[in-house]
Amino acid sequence: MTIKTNRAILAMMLCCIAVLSFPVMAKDFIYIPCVNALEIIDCETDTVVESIPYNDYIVNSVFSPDKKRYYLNAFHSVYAIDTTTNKLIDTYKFSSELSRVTILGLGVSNDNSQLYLSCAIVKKKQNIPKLNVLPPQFVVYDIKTKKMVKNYQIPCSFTGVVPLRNDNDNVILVGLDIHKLNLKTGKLEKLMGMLNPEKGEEAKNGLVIWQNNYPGDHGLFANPYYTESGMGYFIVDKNTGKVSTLKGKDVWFEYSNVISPDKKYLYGVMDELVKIDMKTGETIKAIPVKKGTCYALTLTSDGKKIYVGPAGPDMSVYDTETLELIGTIPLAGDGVIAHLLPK
Amino acid sequence: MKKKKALKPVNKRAKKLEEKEVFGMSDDISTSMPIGCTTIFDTGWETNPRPETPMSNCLSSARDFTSCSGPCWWPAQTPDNITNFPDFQNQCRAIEKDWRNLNFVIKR
Repeated sequence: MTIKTNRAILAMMLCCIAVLSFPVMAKDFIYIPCVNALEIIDCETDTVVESIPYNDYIVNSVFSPDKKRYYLNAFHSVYAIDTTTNKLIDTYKFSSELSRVTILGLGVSNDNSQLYLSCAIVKKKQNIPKLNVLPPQFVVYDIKTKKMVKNYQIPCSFTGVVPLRNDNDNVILVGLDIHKLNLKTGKLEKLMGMLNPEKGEEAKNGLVIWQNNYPGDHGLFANPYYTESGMGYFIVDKNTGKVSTLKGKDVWFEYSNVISPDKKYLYGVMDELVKIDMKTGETIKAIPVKKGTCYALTLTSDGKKIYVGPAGPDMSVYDTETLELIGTIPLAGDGVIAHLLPK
Repeated sequence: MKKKKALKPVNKRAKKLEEKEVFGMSDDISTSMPIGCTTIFDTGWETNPRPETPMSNCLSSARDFTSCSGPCWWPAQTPDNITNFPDFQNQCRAIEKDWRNLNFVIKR
């Protein structure tokens, strides 16, 4: 072997070491369940790179904790998307002509094996125009066997199902009030009154549809609420199961929130994109969303871009620092939610 | 207490049509929650506190239309996507562009 060959081998080895010593940078993708198709945006190019068809309207969605599945709630059914192949792999049907199940909230167990569903159930009787409206149920559903494991009666209108990452025995339910549900006994423990506040407190009006996700997953789920005297944000810590509030200094009409990875800022959106200081509740900046009303918010892993939308068939991309519009991405249809998935 | 049946079948045909219990449901009727519509306590977003533009919620109304029909927020004004018009989105995938298709709603 010549010296020249040895040098070439050494150079190649150094190159390999250099490549392996740098961590593989994950690419950010945003999954947007639109009307009749799941659209996937590549955050590097800000374009739709994939569209997975189905025939439905999706009200909310959630990734499994291992991020291998993306579950879409179509009220009567749940669709499962394999996030590695980006294919629709299964449909879990919960409604029939005689038993109408409306899934209001959706969550996945920490071991990825069970769906947690907050359901409204109405049963029809054969041959006669009569309906039985049954008490709402919290259903634990085994994904593999496609069978209901257990169910508990719950108060109505729990649209937010928030599993706790360090507690497999309890799940937080958010709706007219915030409760902790014991999955072993079905016992409900009220954590925060909203429609039914504690004595001396104001009633809070909150619409809980969106559980926006965030890079790094600090485990804080924030949602706006409104009282007679102003607005605030309730924050559910998925690590501890504790619920706290942040009083807003100004009143902004917001559908949903996302907290920055460093937990310094809270963003909100409806007709405006709003940036709030998490320590003081003060508004740092607010701008009208050029495209109009939007529902959801998604941050990129580097924290530099925030994706606003959908509602109408588009996503608007803003700079998180300046809240300046970077661009708009057209979508195939209207939508409600968007979630980040770094790959 | 067991409820009395309001109607008793008197002939063979009527007996055949007699209501049957399905999926083990009881005769107890809870009226706390109607199917689909108005499932969520949500008032207030329609009131607009802003003194200047944008003056109303939502903007434009077309952007909020599909989602209002989904959970049945305005069942008189939008197709009831849960119960009566589950496939209305096939006519109007993006209301801003396809609103002309809303001239009529095809019932399933």
